[in-house]
Amino acid sequence: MGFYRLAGVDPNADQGWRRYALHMLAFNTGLLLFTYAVLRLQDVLPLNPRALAAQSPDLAFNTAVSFTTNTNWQSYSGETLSPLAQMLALTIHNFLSAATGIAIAFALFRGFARRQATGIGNFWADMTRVTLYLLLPVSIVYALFLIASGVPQTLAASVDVTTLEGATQSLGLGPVASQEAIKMLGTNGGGFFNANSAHPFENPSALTNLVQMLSIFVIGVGLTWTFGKAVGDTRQGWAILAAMALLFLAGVTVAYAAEAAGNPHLQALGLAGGNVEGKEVRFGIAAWRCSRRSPPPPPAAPSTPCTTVSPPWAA
Amino acid sequence: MHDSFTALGGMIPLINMQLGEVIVGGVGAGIYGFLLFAILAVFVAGLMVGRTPEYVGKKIEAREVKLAVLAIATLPLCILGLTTLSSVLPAGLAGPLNKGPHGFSEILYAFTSAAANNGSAFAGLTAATPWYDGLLAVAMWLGRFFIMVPVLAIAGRLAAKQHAPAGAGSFPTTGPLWIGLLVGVILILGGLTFLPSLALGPIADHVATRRGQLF
Repeated sequence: MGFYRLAGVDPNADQGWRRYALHMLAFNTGLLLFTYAVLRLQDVLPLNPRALAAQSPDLAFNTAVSFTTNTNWQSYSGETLSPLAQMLALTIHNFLSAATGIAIAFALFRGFARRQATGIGNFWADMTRVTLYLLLPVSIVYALFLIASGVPQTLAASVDVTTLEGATQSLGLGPVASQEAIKMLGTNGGGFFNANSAHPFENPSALTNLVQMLSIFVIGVGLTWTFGKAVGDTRQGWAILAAMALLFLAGVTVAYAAEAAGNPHLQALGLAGGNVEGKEVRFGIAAWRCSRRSPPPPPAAPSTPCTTVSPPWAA
Repeated sequence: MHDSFTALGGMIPLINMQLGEVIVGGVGAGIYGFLLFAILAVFVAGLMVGRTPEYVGKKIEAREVKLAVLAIATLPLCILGLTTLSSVLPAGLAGPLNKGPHGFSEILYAFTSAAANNGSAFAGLTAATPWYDGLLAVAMWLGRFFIMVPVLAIAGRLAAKQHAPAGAGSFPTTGPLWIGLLVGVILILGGLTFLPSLALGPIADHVATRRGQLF
């Protein structure tokens, strides 16, 4: 493989757990610093058509850690980042933080499967395999599906539209589809826009909504089977999936009942029905529970009368 | 945002994350987190019958159990420790929009989401301040790598062991009894650890709302 030769890595060189952990930490720390630098230098780097300012030191640190750790907590609003920062600083982590998680899972599977072995695999080989054979191909197909559904994929900064009231509004654009696909698949959650997947440009239709929810689950669920396969008894994987499913359904039941019952104070005012506040009205109360990742934080200036129909279920 | 949920509705994502975000969870992180609980569950089963437990062909000994507890203890330490700090110090108290139990939920949710590497926000909390940007980053880093490294240590120790075939005395790790034990261990451990914080936050919020008090 050309990649391994280029990087000077022997994919068959087994690493003990200490070496594996050290390489994993070094890789993630390096990426963290890189992301921090890109976010701090956004204003002088190219591909910044809206001339956005750089993030402050504490915000850039928070964002860099957030994306390195697959958390994707957003203390910023997506609209304040340039296409370059979105692609180079953030999307890269959507792939690599997801791959790191899967690599560690594989190392643990090997611990169970191997006998009297000194190594638990090779970190660089694991990262390459997960990224190249799993995340990239599926993300490409997924992104094309999103583009076909109407999600923007462009380097243009924005488009001006005339609203129903006759005013002119500028809608942000960017390479959304490519980031959206891996955002879901890698359980990341850092949306391109502040409103995350409640923004129609991230999630235009009921079909994309369904696919986005399922794609959050697909790799995590699939890994239970992989575990069974790795230890030579798929029933072990099914048992874990069954336990996960029980806990999931219990949570959905309680949460749905609570939301459907609604808020007694609003009902006393004559507003019948469930608690629709904060739900994406296009999809209703039932849709938000299925996914548990990254709706946006409050916008930096809470008073902006903008798009924040909040997407509790987003990303 | 989750802030607009009913108190109990908002408590569910909170619990799901506090249990280690292992119910499918993040890619990779969900399954290795779940396997940490599996190690604890076979340990509990082993204690009941008084023999060294096995799990999928490997003996689980004291060192593996200690490492699993070390990894599992990371979340409560981060979440409860940092929430406590932010609930008493002025820089932390400046964050929540609401008073009382709802404001506490806002702080608790932020640190839970960060440490569990979830990233969802309860809203209501003004988190773009140096205090929260910094501490949430600490929670995210610890919640990620202070779990990964013990997991790798467990992997290394297990890989070095011989195969331990299941015998007549082995606890079967498939089937309803095992699934029940696994769910039980996760819920009891999570319940014991986080119930007090939930009682101060969403549960108090729920009771107060029913009695007509709003925050």
